[in-house]
Amino acid sequence: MNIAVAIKHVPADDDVRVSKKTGQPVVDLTEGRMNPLGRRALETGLRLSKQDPASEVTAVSLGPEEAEPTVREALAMGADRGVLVADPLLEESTGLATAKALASTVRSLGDIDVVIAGARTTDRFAGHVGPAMAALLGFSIATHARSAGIDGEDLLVEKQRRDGTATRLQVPTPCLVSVGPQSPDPRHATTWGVHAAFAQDALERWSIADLDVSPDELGPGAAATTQENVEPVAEKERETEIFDGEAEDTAESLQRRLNSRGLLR
Amino acid sequence: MAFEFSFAPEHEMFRRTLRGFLDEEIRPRIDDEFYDSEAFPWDLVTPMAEQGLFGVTVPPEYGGAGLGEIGYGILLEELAKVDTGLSTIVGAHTGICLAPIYLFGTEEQKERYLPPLCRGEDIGAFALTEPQAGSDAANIKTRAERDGDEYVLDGTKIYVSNGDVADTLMVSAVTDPALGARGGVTAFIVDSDWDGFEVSSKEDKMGIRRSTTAQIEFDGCRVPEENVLGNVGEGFIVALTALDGGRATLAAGSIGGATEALNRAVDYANAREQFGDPIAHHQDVQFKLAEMSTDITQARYATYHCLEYVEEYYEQIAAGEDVSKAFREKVSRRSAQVKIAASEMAAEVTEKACDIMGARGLAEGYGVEKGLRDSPIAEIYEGTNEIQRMIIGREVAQEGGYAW
Repeated sequence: MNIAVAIKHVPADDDVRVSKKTGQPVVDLTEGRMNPLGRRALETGLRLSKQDPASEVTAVSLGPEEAEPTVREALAMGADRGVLVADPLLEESTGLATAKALASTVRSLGDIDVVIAGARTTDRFAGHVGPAMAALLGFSIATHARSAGIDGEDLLVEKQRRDGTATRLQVPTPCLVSVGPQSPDPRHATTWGVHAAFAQDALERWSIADLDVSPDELGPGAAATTQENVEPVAEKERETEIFDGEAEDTAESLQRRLNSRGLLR
Repeated sequence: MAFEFSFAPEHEMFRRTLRGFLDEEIRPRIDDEFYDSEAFPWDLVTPMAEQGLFGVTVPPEYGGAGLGEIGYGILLEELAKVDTGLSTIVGAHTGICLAPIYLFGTEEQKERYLPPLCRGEDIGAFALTEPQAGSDAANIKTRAERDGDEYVLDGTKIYVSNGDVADTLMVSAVTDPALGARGGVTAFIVDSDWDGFEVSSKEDKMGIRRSTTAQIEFDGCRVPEENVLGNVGEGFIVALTALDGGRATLAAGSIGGATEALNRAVDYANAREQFGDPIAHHQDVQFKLAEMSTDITQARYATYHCLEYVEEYYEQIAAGEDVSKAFREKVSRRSAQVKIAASEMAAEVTEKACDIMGARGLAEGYGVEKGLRDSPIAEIYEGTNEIQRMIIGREVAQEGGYAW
């Protein structure tokens, strides 16, 4: 089974800084990292590949040159191939344009049975690149997966709902699976992996010339939706109260306080 | 060598992934209390071995990760932030057992011993010190008497880190008492399951309690001649070459320990309020923090610079090249200098952290008390700082302020 995993290089800092001038988030990739859910997507792909010795896992990233460490880290974690499609146009692409470029990369890889991606990225938080990619590729799709396993020609995908129940989906391949935060914790690259990731020719460098997508369809103007602005949302203030004293007294005080707020019925 | 202090992308990634592993898998399982110093921490060593932390210097063809001496320095620095006992375990295994086998071993020895050591399935140790031969290492008495195609080892080795659990040991013994250290000492690779090898006792130490320290008795232990490491009579060169690199990486460990002490002090100084302000706003505390950070930075630059020399030195030896006497002396002197600088810096920085934290600094569970117990060993092992001073001082007295 041939598996492609889409991983994005995102700013290391989760706190989005918003430019006062443009109202847009400032993307500083000098201190970057692999998108956390992309990391889980890779883990899911690596586990899937264990079930079929003939599988190959290819990690794919689009973006600026700064994304190189993320692709190398995917190799260090165990991906068989790492492809970095680097172009300034991709750096400025969002949403649909990104999905088009990724879908084209998957087509160019050829013979991909499963694409795995994180359900969203920490920087854009759109959550629609995966589904759009599946639509463009004509793949079946399962979103927010907790786990995935091979079942003949299909994948067996499990997702966990917020009420604690799990849903199992039989997904025919080729398919795209987006993984959520309940998917398995990603492994740490071993020292052997780190060394192998820097072997000569370990990283494959592509440009948009290698893709079957026209430059007009990429770049900042090509997105179907635009991000108007980003602004902080005031969080509800939390209160902390500590009751001192003997256990019985503090329990009583707590009960009284909760009662007075109408929180005990 | 370019005068440029930056880590290669490979080493940057190694540090990042290593930190992730240590912070998630190891640090949460370390408490700062008095660990049982006779219990080798297999629960931590096993995942560390699976992560590939027991063979970072050795090239992949012998099972290692090929991250060199810089990678090894990074490993000990990061590991010592979490626990100096753990960095001692890896140091005794890698720097002074794995390294000499890689540098001086025959092809057969390397193929046989290195892969399981690199995987951490076998643990390595180094046995040089004896009851009457500490700083005066040339005075070792453990005898290796030739008997046919074997050598028979008799004698006592003390302060052997990992000695109680080691599978493979690098042992120095006297093959020709008339020649002594100048041609009469030979290095041997010894398997701990051979007859005549016995762990007689373990030390109960104040610090580095996760690293076990054993006394070993050799009583008619028969070592086949193919286990002679390097040439007969050149065992001292084997041991000293391993220690040259070992000292520089120990310095990296001291830097890790000092950085941890600084970080603990900073956290405390920002949280602790006195006279209506966090004490981190007080100038006397800021001055201490500034001094600590400055001293760490200096030692860190000098240490990684030295490790670049060690890397080149070991590459020359591994390639079978003749190392010039001048270069050998330079590496030896540098590693002695950074070992003194970093170990003493770490002790001072840890004391300052303790000053900043007041009574908390001496209390169990805040890290600094453990740091005070853990830091002094670096001034002692792999050649005491006094011996390092003697070596450096003798050279300086002859040559003056030589160019670096």
